[in-house]
Amino acid sequence: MVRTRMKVTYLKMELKRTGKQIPALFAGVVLLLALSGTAVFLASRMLYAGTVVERIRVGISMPEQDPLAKQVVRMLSTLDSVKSICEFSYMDRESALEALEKGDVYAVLDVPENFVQDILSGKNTPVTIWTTGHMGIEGQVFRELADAGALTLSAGQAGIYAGNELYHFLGLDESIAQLELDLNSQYMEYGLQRSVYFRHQNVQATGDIGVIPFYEISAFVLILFLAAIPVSGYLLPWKKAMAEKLKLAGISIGSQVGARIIGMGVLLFLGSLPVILILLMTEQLRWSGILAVVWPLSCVAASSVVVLLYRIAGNHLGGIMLLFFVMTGQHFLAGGILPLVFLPHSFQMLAPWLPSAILMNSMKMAVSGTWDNKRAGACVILIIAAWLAGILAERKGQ
Amino acid sequence: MSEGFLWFFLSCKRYLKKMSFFLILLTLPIATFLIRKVERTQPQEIRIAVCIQKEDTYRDENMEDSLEQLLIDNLVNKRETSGNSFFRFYQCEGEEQVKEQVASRRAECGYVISQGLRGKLDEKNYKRSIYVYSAPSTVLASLSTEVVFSSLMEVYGNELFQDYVLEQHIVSEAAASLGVDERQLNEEISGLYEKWMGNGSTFHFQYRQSGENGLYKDPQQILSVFPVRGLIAVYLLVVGLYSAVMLGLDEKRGLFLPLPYGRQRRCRIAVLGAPVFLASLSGFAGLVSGGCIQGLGKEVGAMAAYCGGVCLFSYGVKLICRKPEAVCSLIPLFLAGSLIFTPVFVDMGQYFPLWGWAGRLFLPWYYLRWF
Repeated sequence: MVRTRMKVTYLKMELKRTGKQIPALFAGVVLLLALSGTAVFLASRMLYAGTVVERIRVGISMPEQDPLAKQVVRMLSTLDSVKSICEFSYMDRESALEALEKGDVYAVLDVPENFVQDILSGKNTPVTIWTTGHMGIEGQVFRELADAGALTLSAGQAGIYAGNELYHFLGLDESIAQLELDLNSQYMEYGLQRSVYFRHQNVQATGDIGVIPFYEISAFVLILFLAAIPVSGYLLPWKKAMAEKLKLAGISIGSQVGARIIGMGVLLFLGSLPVILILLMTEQLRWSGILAVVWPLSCVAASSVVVLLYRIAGNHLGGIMLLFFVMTGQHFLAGGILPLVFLPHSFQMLAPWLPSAILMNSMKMAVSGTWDNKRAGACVILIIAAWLAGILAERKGQ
Repeated sequence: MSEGFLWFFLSCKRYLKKMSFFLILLTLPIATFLIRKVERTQPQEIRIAVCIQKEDTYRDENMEDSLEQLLIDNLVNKRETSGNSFFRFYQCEGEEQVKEQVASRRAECGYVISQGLRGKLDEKNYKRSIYVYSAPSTVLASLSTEVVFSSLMEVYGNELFQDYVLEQHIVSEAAASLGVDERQLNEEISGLYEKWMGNGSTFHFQYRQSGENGLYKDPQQILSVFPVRGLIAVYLLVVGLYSAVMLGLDEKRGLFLPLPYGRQRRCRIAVLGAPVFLASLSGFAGLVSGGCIQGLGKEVGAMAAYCGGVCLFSYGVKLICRKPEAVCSLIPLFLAGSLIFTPVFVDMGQYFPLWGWAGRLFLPWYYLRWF
């Protein structure tokens, strides 16, 4: 009974200590919200002002004296699929390569001399696409689109060239022009209306959410981790002498770590309060019983991870470095920044077990309004695992 | 000057004495090595489920030569034949399985191809003949339609050609006059389209990557998505800022009080620079193990200049804020700002030019622009 009372008193002391961290916590959170607001304002202003684009800038270098090539490339740039991803700038070869080096354009399409004449004659000198740096996601997407477009064009060309060869073999050279005209119009007819072939339908999986709510959740989880930085002074483990005295008073290491997790959880809850309020006021989130459970649970789970990291590091700088890795590397591998689909298979397999994924899945329940025992259970297991690991780290540290 | 070095050396020693700190420094190069190894051994693939609309027609003998089956075969073999596509199409038994694969996110999206596609195309009644199933969180469904369409054109292009030439009376008449019978003519026709598709003489793009000294080489085939350099740049900034917090705490404890006022600044900068230096060694090892090195001289120079910039910036922030708690509260701002506005994960400046300008407010932008 006495020990329990001591533990309750210790928890009260721990919570009192958290109170002192509130100004630093809110200073950090307010700055983060200001930054997020700036980002949202910039993005919305640019989108609604119509000045952007959301497209990759591509430089086109074409021979000066080739009006036919210009006409073909301009026609290509008006195709919906190309327009949706690329914005073409026409420039000479040197300026285009210079712009590429400076990063002003993402890629350069270097159209060779006699490009159209070569296509018509069957020579097909390739168009060179210059890129810079390593091939990122945008590069791979761009390449995939370009190759698909080239394959569509090739199909028509192969049909026409095959017809030419056949007619030549059969001695029908005088009919080749008509064949080219007929086949060309057929391939164009089938090739230019690509969107009508497809009918898009959504498949709703239980608890699945759209791309924008997903990234809002991802940002929320990042904010939970970021909010821990201004209060990092609170997270350091007790010095050896203090820990010993607490033990003598009946406060075990488990209780110390547990109380710290609860204290930090309260701080994260308070830190995330403005974010949740903004989401509720802008109707991007609806208040529900699930949110009332999932939100504090996620705060405690994030707190348990942060407390564990500081227990492992044992010092300020080490703690912040570990926290940085968790916030960025681990969050990235959990699919919080780039869609998981872009990551290697083993990372995709690993992702659901990472703390960020567990936290995001937990918050997804609040957004989708669907309770999932597995997701809530994973969150609880994360808290217990981090608490146990924290005890181990503390014992080793002492 | 030697006093500054002494303080710098002692500060390095002070940090390295903590085993956990040393291990964390080692974590970065080991982690980047392992991540890059996985990326190299497991090239990215985006799985897309495909099937023919009616379940019981799966691999039916009568369906083998159907256009829908030819299209599916072409899509399924695409990755092997083209070599650099990141889409992996795989055949499912039916529409329900495709939906289930998409709902469970085992497939990024799914395609269900109507039966009798050949007839629909011949009759020009092909509107909505291919169903695309995608989940709300899908990001690549619209891109993959371009790939499916180009595959369809590749397969159906042959049929368009064959149908056209076989319908021409002059072709059969000319073949007969040359003594070529119908069977021989069909054989001749059927191989011609594939010959032209496969001999590399049709239109294609060639890719080149701008390299050092004006030389150009083929682009890397491996898609590496983990942003090693970007993360290291932000990591050094965070270490620098936190080092300024530590400096503030040391000042509070009176560490510099025994020193004459004139010599305090250099010792303070030495104390602040020590963790940045150690983290930069770890970061440099991370760049090496992550395969990001672009010339040793350029890398060392850029890293040294960036570390100097980080130290000065952090010292400046500390001078302005004075209280270590205030510097600590600013770290999330600089960290999140660097992650959002500079090209660490995605170069948003490519899509939103103003975004790129906002990036200039954050130190990692300058380091990342060098590469």
